[in-house]
Amino acid sequence: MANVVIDIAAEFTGKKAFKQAETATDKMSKNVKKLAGTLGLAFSGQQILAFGKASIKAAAEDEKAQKQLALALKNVGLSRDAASSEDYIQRLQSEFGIVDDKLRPAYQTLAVATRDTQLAQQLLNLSLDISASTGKDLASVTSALSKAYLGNNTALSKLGVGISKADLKAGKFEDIVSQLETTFAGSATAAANTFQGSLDKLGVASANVQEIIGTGLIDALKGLGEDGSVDNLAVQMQAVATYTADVIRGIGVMISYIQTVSENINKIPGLKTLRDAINKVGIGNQALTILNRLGKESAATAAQTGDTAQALAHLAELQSRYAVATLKTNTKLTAEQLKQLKAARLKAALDKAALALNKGEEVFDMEKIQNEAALKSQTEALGKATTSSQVLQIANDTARLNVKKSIFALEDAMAAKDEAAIVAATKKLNADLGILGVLGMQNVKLVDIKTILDSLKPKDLINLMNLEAALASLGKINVATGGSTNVSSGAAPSMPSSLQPRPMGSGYLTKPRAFTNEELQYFEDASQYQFGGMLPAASTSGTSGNTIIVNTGVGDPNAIAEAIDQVLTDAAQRGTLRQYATP
Amino acid sequence: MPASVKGAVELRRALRTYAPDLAKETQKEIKVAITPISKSAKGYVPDRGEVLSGWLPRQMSEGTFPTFNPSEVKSKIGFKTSPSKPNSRGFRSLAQVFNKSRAGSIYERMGKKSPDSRFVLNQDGKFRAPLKGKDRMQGRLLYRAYDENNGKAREGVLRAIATAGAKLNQRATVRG
Repeated sequence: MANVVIDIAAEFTGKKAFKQAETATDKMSKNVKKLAGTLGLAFSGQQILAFGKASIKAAAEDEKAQKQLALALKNVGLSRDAASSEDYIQRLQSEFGIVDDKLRPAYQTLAVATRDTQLAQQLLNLSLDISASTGKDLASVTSALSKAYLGNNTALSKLGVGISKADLKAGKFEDIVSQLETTFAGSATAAANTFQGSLDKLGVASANVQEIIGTGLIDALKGLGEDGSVDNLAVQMQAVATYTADVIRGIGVMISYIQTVSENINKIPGLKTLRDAINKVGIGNQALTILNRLGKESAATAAQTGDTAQALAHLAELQSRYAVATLKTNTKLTAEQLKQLKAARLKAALDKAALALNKGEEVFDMEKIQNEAALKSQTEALGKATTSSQVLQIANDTARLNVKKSIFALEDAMAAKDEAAIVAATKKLNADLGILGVLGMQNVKLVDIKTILDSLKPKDLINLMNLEAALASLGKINVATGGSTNVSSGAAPSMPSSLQPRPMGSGYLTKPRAFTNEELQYFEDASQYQFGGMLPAASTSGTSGNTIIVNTGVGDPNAIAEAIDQVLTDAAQRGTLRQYATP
Repeated sequence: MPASVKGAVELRRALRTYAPDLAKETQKEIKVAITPISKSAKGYVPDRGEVLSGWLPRQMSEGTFPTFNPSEVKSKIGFKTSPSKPNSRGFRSLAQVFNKSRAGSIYERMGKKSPDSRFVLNQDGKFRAPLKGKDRMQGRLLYRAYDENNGKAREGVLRAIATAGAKLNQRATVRG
């Protein structure tokens, strides 16, 4: 909907927050990955090899950076401070969580510009504070400070450190530095004490560990024989890494125990004495001391016999051999995988075809189709039903069809050997059969009622079907009483087809029409055949007489005559006798 | 363009948490600042006799084109004084005035793209209301009212937020 909305005031909140969250997550995951990698957690052989190579490179680069710094200090006349500068850098990186790879160039820039170790260290501290506070990278801050020391304040003004151009131009460098130290005091320490700072410190520690391991690896590779395969080296390194990780965990646990025990051990005189004795004898330290001495001797020997480049070349050769061997194995695996893939594709195609066939069978399953059609027609009939008996009958039929449908479903399930489907279909069939049973009982009752109703229905009095039988019976009676019949010698007349009864629903009711001659003849013959002997013979004189019986006394004729006259008079008065003849 | 400020959403949240009375007061001040716009906009809604008869609601409505019911249009012109959710570009508005009915939106901006359409010409022939505002914020109801407000509402909202921030700081300082 096109709403008209005016924002009076707004605040940008969304994207910045997302970006901050993304950056923090990325940094954290990177540091955690580095740490896990350094401690040798979850390494495969190939990763061990890659880690070894990276460690060697890191050690070599670190060595190179150290040499460069020493050379730079020597060139500006500060060679005597090279060792102390290195110590200072190591302290800074562990304190602020900034890697020495960044600190050395920064320190070198300042040292070259100032030619004073103390001032360089002071400016580097200030640079760390400014960098932590403003978010600018350390290299650009040290560059700006070194340029400012040399009289170029432009870069410093661009840093945005809160000093105006006029002040920068007028003020001395010492004053500016003092002002900056006041402004940014403690920023680097505060940043290092945050969670991110802790992660950075861990990152630095892991980088240092990598460099130390790399130095050890350089020495170890120099002593590795030609026949020592890379695989063996990788497996052994992995074992060592796992072992080292366990040892580190053990050290952590031990430290916690010692911290707990140390608090209480001084309270027990015997134990304290025993601990002091062990410390004096140094049983625990002996093994470590021996290992340490061996390592130092080995390092000294290695320094005499070769250099880093030689070790790296050796490692590259071993790695190429490993790569060739791995490639061959991978090729074999690929061929096998191709076969498996082909077989899987064929199986999938067959399954698909079988599914399609099943669908086709379902389409042409006539029994099912008829069943469905019958169910549909029952549904339609239900809509047209008007009486409860019709509804009951439809329900009965529907129940039967449902039973049939359930049987089909059960057959299908059995064919598919699907246990769950079989159980479900059986349950459905039982339920349908139950419904059918209930309906069947009602049907019996309905049939009974229908029979009773039929028995109560009156019989047809005039029915063409039984009329002939009735007439035949009357004829027999007539013969038995001696009556004559005109048609006794002949057969009964046959009824014309037009008068025959027709079945219901075949146009029984038709338009009125005149009887045909044939039909009239049939009526005449039939009347003579059935009633001829029973009817009185027609009077030949053309008159007819009626006998009236009058109940009266016996003896007096006048009284009889009067009684008769009275009856006739009454009849005439009632209107039932209109004309009578006097005797 | 709305005025962009920083920290206002956080301030409103802090007010709700630490000084609910100040939060209510701020909301009232913002309401006082932006109510004139919505009131004026409602006043610019034309009566039934001022729009095309075919556009008025009728029993047998053809199609889905929204009919113009003045009371409905007026009821859907309003304001909101609480911060909104961030939009696609990351902005959260601190106060809004809106014209949310379909017919109202049509009347607001009709003729901006097609001034020669028959509908617009007929409507203008019956009742001509001026389009006021600038660029995209040009219209007959809400945009006109906002334009005629001359930024007083915006100043009022900003002043209310600034005052609330100052008061909150003052309280924190006194207590701390």
